[in-house]
This record gives sequence, structure tokens and C-alpha cells, in this order.
Amino acid sequence: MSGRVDALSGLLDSVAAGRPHDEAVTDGRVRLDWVGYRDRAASLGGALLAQGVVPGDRVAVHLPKSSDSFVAAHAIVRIGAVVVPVDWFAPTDYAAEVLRDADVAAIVTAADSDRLGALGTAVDGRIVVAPDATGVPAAVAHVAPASAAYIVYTSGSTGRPKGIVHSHASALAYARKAIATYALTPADRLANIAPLHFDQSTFELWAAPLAGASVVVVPDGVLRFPASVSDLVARERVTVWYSVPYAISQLVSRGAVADRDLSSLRWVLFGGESFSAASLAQARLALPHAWFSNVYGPAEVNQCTFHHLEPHRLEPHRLEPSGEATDALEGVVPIGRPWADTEVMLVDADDREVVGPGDGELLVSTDTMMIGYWNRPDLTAAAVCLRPGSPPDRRWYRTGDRVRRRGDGLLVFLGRTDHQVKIRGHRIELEAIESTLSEAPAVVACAVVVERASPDRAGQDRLVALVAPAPDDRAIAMMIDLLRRRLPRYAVPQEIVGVAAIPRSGTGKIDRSAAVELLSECRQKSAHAEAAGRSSG
Amino acid sequence: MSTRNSSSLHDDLVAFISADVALGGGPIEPGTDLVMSGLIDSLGVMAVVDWIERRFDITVDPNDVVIEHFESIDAIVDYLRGRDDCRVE
Repeated sequence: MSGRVDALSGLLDSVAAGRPHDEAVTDGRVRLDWVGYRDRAASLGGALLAQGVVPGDRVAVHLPKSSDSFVAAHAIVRIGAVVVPVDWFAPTDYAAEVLRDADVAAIVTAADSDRLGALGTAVDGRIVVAPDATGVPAAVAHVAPASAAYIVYTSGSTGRPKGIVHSHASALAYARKAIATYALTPADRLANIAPLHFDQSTFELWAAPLAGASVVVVPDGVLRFPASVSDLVARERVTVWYSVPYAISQLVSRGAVADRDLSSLRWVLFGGESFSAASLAQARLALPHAWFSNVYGPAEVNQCTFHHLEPHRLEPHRLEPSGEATDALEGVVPIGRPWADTEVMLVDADDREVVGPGDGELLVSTDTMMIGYWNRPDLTAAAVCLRPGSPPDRRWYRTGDRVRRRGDGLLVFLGRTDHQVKIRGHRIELEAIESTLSEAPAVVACAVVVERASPDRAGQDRLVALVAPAPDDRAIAMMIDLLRRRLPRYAVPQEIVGVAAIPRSGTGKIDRSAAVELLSECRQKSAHAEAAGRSSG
Repeated sequence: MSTRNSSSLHDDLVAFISADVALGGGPIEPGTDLVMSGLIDSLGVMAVVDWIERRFDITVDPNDVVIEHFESIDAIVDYLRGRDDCRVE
């Protein structure tokens, strides 16, 4: 089946031909078989065509997590247009920026007049279509596999949104490798945790149909309640879970997992951020039947490496109850090895290749690579390059990630070069500090922030580590000892501040500016408490 | 056993959520969907559970922290009314 598909536009037709009435997608409210999924996409596609959308047009999907959003994405690629997911919970200014930047011809949205009003002039001149709009069923458009299929927007380093454009070819290359790596079959049921604007969702959007596997969309409301999520996973017999580590930790710590039968889960895939050794160990203990796998890859290439961890029940003696994962050397889970059709290269600070064991920036060459950044040829040229000695048609993507290649060939993520900060002239990678600090058993999550010097505190910016849950003094002492042992002196945080939780963005990654604000609030609270103590004392 | 008048409980919940939890502005009606309105995220859910536990001196089992019991102020009040260890008039 997968051999006949060379563009996303024909994907649903292909699987519907083979298994028309098997379940395809559900969100708890709506349950569609493959024919239903295809027919709804064709009908919505027809509605878009009737409104004047043509191939190559960008069409936004601005919906809560639902079967509707999946149908909309497939409707758009079916007619040869380009899907632009827009976060339903994004601040309106940000959503408006995305709509303008992609210059979308149409928006598929359930937004009411208030929300559309808030988007203001960003909506002017653009077609607004409801997700259940119907039309004459659209035929599958003939599209060149190399043409654009979808755009994932990400915050650029300056905070302005930046669109990563993927083609039908790169999407299908990703889907095929994902199917092979995780042995997906039509018997699989994939939970959709990630919203469409987060590229992890391409696993459920494209790989699932190509495999004939069904998708269980976890709605936003349910997702906020881990005990509801675990209930859904158990009831729907989900077999594959893919999310950021945070969602897994939430499931394990608050999802009443011991009261659920989650034996259907055979894979727990995690990516987007490092998983702390303690949290990962807890998750593997709580889900002893599942293989866990680290998924690494910037959205610019979807995925490029993988690292499998066997089910805890097979090797119970290798996990201490205290939570230290002893099978991951140095307490850090490797990002593993490149998967098929993918080459990696490490380069040093002088852009020379690092051969064999060593550290360097990771460059990737793969058929899952983006076309480029939308309307930003300057950024694309800076990120995608040719290499001397490499064939002229082989493009390399500079990930901006620092990676270590170990003696055994496994790759370990060290940190992102674009989160480097300067402290007293030294370059510091916040993720590298966090990765090290996460090895401490008492750390479930952490974030390192730079506390900028205030005028009344002479001189220095400081590194402060926020740690959740709030550690006691003994644990803090152990953490400082660990950091001092492992990091250059200038990279050791001056202070560890306990917090209830680390602030996160909509995609589950650390929200670094919110973390800085949280620290500021902690300072204010201590100052008030001190003042109150003085005045009452 | 704690007793709270339900209309004052509604008001207290609205006040707490607005002041300490809400991610944005917007009116909080008894039936407002707290998550879909963008008012609370999972940290907010945890904060509401903490608040309830302290106000009623009860423990909320993780199994009870589900969308059916917490998706709106009405749902929260109904959940508490259904418990036998806190009286909501």
C-alpha cells in the first residue's frame, strides 16, 4: 500500500481502498472509519475549492484538538494546498502574525465572531470556513512530491514566528521511517497528544494513515487532567504514545496509572526535550510493559535519531526504586543513532568535521529535511548548506545542537547553541546545565535562568537553577556538589531555588521567559516575608 | 466536616481562579469551560485541587481529578456536593 503513495493528497484514498471500515480516527465525540475520514476531507476540500482556494495556497487550521482538525489537514493537502496549523490557545497577536506571515488564503476555524474580531485585520480578505463545511467532494490533486505540504511555525530566536516548510516527499519519508522504526501496523492505535502546530503530531497525521493505524485524539480539556488521559488511553486500548517528557511525567505522577490497565501501551515515545533520569525511571516503572524510545530531531528534519529502551519488566534489576536509570551512562538518555537514509556529522567551532568520538554541532543530511523557512531565504541559507567533499546535491542542516559522539557510536545531546548565554564573558549553554542537574535523583524538572544584575546589587548577572519539586537543604547540597563536579566553575548556578513546577509553553517545553518571571516572583515573596517578619518581630 | 454555602463557594472559586490561576481575562460563569476558555492549564488544575483540599480539609484522590469533576465551577461544586466528607449547602 505505501509504495503507491508519493504525495499526502492521495493518502486517505489509498488506505480507504484497503480497509474502508476499520476505525481511523476518534476524539471521543466523533468516530470515523477510513471511508468517513476520506469523505469528510474530500467534502471540506470541495468547500475550500468552491471558495476559490487553489493549489499552493496556504490554508490555516485554527481549531482545538479534535477529529475536525485532522480532517481539515487532510482536506487541505488533498486539494494541493499547504496546511498551516495555528495554536488554538495562542495569544491573538501571535496567531495574527502567523496568518499574515504565511499570507493564508483561507482559515478553517471554529472561531466565533469574538475570536475572529480579536484577530482583527489579520483575517481581512481571507476566506473563513467552518470545519464541518461541505462541498462537492474534491478529487485528489496531482502534486509534485517536492512541493510544499505543510508549514510548522516556531518561535525564531528573536521571538518572531518562523515557518518551517515541509514537502509531501519529506513528510512521507518521515512517515515511512517512523513506521519501520516502531513497527507500526494497522492494529496500532496512536494517541495524539501534540497539537497540530507542534510537529510531533505529524506522526499521527501522516504516519498513522500510511500504516493503516488509527488515531485517538486526546482533546485539550482531557489533556489537562492526567487521570482523564490515562482513562482514555486504557479505554481506547492505545498502543503508541508520543509526547514531550512533561506529559509522560504528569501521566505517571497524577494519572492514577496504578488504577488503570495500560497494558495495551507497547511504545512510549518521548522527544522535544531531555527527560530527567529520575522521571524517566519512574515512568518505566509505572509502565513496565512498554518499550520507551527517545526521539530526537529538530522540526526542520522531523526526526533523525532514535534510542530504544527495553520494557522495565524485562530488566527489573537495572532500575533502582530510588529512580536512577543505571542503564543510561552518565544518567543521560542518549539520542541514539541516525535512522535510515540519514547521515550525521559533527563539526567543531572552526566548522571542521569531528571524526570519531568527540563533541560538536550536529549537522544532518536526510530526506526528511524541510524545503526551507517560509519567505526567509536568509535564514534558510544560514541553516542549510553544502559541505566540501560532500556530493553537490547533498544538503546539510545545521541543527544548532551540541552533541557528543561516544566511543560506542551513540550520540548524546549536550545543549542548544542558540540558548547560549554569556556570563562574565563565558559562553554557557543552559540546557547543558539542566541536563547535568537532571541527573540528581531529587530533580523531577529544572530550568536554569540568568538573573540579570539589578542596579542595587553590585555587578553580576547570576545563574539560578529552578528545581521542582522544591528540594530540602540536603538535596540542594548534593545538587551543588554534582554541578561543581561536572561543570566549569562559571557554569555552576549560584543558587538553587525550589519551585512547585517549571513553567512550560503550549508544546510542553520550558518557557524560559516565564521561568525568569517565576524567579522574580519568588524573590518578591521572600522580600515581603522578610519585611513582614521584621515589622512583626 | 466542613460546611460551605454553595453560592459563596461559587464566588470564592471565581475569586481564587481569577486572582491566582487564570491565564487570561474573561468572565468566569458557573458553566464556563475552564480549560477551553484558556483560563487554566494543568498547573491551574493542580492549584484548584490544592485550594479545595485546604478549604475543606480533605484529600482529593487523583482518580477524582478528571474533566467531569473540574471542567467548570458548576462541575467542581457538584463534585464536592457528592462527597460525604464536605457539606455544601
